[in-house]
Amino acid sequence: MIMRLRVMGQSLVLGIAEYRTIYTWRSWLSGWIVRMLAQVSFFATIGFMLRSSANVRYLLIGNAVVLVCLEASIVVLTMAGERWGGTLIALLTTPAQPITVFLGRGINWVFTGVATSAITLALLPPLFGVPVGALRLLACLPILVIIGLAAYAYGSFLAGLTVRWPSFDWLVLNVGYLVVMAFAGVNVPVDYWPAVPQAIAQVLPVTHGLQAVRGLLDGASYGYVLSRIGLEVLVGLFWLLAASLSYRVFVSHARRRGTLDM
Amino acid sequence: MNARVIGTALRMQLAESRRQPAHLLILVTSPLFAVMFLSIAKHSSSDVAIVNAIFAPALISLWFLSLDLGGATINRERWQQTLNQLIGTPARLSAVVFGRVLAVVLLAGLTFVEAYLMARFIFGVHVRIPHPWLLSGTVVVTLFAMAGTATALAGLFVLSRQVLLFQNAMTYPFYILGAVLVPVALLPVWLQPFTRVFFLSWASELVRGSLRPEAVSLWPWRMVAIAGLGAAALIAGVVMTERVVDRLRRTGEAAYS
Amino acid sequence: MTSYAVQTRGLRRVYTPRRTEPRVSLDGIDLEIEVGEVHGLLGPNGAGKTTLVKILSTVLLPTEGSAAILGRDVVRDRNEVRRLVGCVFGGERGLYTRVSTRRNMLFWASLYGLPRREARTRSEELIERVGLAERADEPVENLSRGMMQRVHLARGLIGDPKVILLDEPTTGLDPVAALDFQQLIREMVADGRSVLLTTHDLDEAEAMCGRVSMIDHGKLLMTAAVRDIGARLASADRVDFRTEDVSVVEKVRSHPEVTEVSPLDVPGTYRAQPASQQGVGEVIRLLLDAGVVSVSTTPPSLEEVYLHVIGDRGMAL
Repeated sequence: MIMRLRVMGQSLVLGIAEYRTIYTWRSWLSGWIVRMLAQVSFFATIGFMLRSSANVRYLLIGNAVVLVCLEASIVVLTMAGERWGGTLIALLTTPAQPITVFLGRGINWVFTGVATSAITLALLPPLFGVPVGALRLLACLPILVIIGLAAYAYGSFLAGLTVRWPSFDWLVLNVGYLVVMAFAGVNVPVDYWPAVPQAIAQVLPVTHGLQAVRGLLDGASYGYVLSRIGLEVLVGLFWLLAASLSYRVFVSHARRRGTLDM
Repeated sequence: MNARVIGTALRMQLAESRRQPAHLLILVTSPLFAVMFLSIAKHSSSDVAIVNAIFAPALISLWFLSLDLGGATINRERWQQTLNQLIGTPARLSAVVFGRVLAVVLLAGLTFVEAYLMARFIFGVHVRIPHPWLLSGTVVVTLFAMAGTATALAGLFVLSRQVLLFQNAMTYPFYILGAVLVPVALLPVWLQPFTRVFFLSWASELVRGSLRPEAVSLWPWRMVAIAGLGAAALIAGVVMTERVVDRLRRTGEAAYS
Repeated sequence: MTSYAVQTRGLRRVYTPRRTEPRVSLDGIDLEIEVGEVHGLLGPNGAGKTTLVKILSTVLLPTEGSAAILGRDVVRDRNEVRRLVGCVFGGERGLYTRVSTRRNMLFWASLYGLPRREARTRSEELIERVGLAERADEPVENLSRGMMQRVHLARGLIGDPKVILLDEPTTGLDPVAALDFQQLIREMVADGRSVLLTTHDLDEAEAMCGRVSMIDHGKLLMTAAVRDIGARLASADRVDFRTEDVSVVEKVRSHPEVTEVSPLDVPGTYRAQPASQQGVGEVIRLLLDAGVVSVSTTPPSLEEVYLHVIGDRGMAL
């Protein structure tokens, strides 16, 4: 187990270094964070259209939290980057299990995702007239981390799909997180949906974690909040298992057909 | 000759898109936006919101597509190494770019149909269109303005290293500026002047106006605004593309790198 | 006034990328190609061949000096030059591979300003002449390398250029396809067009061209008729052989025709450099008589030709 963790640690370092080549502090600030703030603001202004500050709050919190999922799903593109860079084959010839290398590779996105969400939750609610208590906000941070990890497992599963269908990476990424935005209780409560979408929502990342966050910010009982967190953890483990299986299946498939490189 | 080149580039793009419709990712994502917006509107039982939400996914998708095309069009020629050959012909590169962009944007006009279908059949919205000709006209003019703007973006994005960053940064901020879902009047007062220089806000208002029974005031002028801003963008695109070509001939590179 | 098909005077191209030293790609090239001539430009990779082709096709501006196609300056009269010049590159890049040959041809035809009917006629003609009529509607990516090269040729000719620039057109082709392609070029240029062919392959230059210029490090080293170079090249073949017997090596070394014998990487193998083609034959006979069975000849490398040629002519050009 320790060996696996070390492999993951190295992958993390590589991930961060790579991240640095794409973003300098300044560009991250101006480009990415602006887009994220705008994204949440876009949905929050819908609350203006509905003339209800309760709606504004609901939309704002939901969309701020789902940013963690968005950023964590970027692991899909990291995978695509591996393929294009030709490093995928190199990685797979090492004795390390592919899943552990990949798990470490993109995990930096989880932490930046949590940071993005947190910054959004700190900055926007007062601007939109629906302030959130600072202490409650701090208490949400661990929940955001858990949501981030669950979303990362989900993203890893999606990344596995792109091993099999590489030209669909952008499609998989976008559909993957838009499905979460649509059904996981981000913009409308989960129980708004008919039976089938509702059932699907139960296994999506963010669904339960977001309920925990909302509960915490609205003063629900600790029991409720903890039970939601527990469910989010279970969802995360589910996707971790799915991701691990999908890698094994798709990588061996790709090995057989010789399609690992491009 | 330019018209001919535009036509040829358009046909080439259609032929290529048939075999790899990567740009038409938006036809898959647009319905998901429809789900989001219509569910919000229906959940709060606001008729106004429902009407506003109907075509918003199409407007968002088209802008996203313009950003995508902006990043891809000239850059793809670079990677395929056809860019030098294009420059070596008497034809203008901007005509080729505009033709390609126009082809994709026109195809993407299908998102309007999709948006209608989503509202009508998935969410059971009774979509009334009191001003059908106004709607059609607006859609057509908007598509051309989109193509013009995408051409400008194509010229702009070649010069930059951080294309992906710009593309991402120009999504939601511009959905807000474009008033694609929330009308200009409901946006913060300090923001409203900025919406007026973006053709999309005019287009969005006109689209929403055509869905409401009352007459749409000054609609000819609004159309002119869309067309004018689109044309200005196209001109800017032509200028920028020629600058790219000049740069390529002088330094051997298309971009600052 | 007769003008040359291609004429450059003091042509210089310097690249100044950021944060690195400026790189001189062409250093004062004076080249003259007659109308109707097939002229080879011979040089190793990085010699400046492609840069020269880019300048002649108006895709790149010179830093200093001038270049003219049939009397038109490539900078001042660039659109006229573009109509006079056709470029043929090598490889898979440079074509729209997802669509058919026919679609590619029509596209480029319109970019050269051909009206629709003429575009169609010309495209069909060229597709026929390069032998792709049966597969003209298939996506280009389905074609073999050799066939793709023919598409490149057809594309280069669509504007009915008077001057054709071929930039390493047989790169990556197997020998049979390369020979086919060379034949095709011969047919095409019989119509009185002028050709500049860049290559790093001596045999190809010999087979295709009337005169050859050698270029290296951006400088034009010499220009000569192919016959002259050919004769000199043949004399420089090397003889590689393998033997355990040191006395044989000594015998070869002391042969009057042999200028030097040097060991090669694999122990027991040697390379002998005869001074003439006749010498090659004598060395081989000597080796066979001594019972050496592992013998082969290799043509000289380009660098050796250059050295040989420069050594002989001094400061050439």
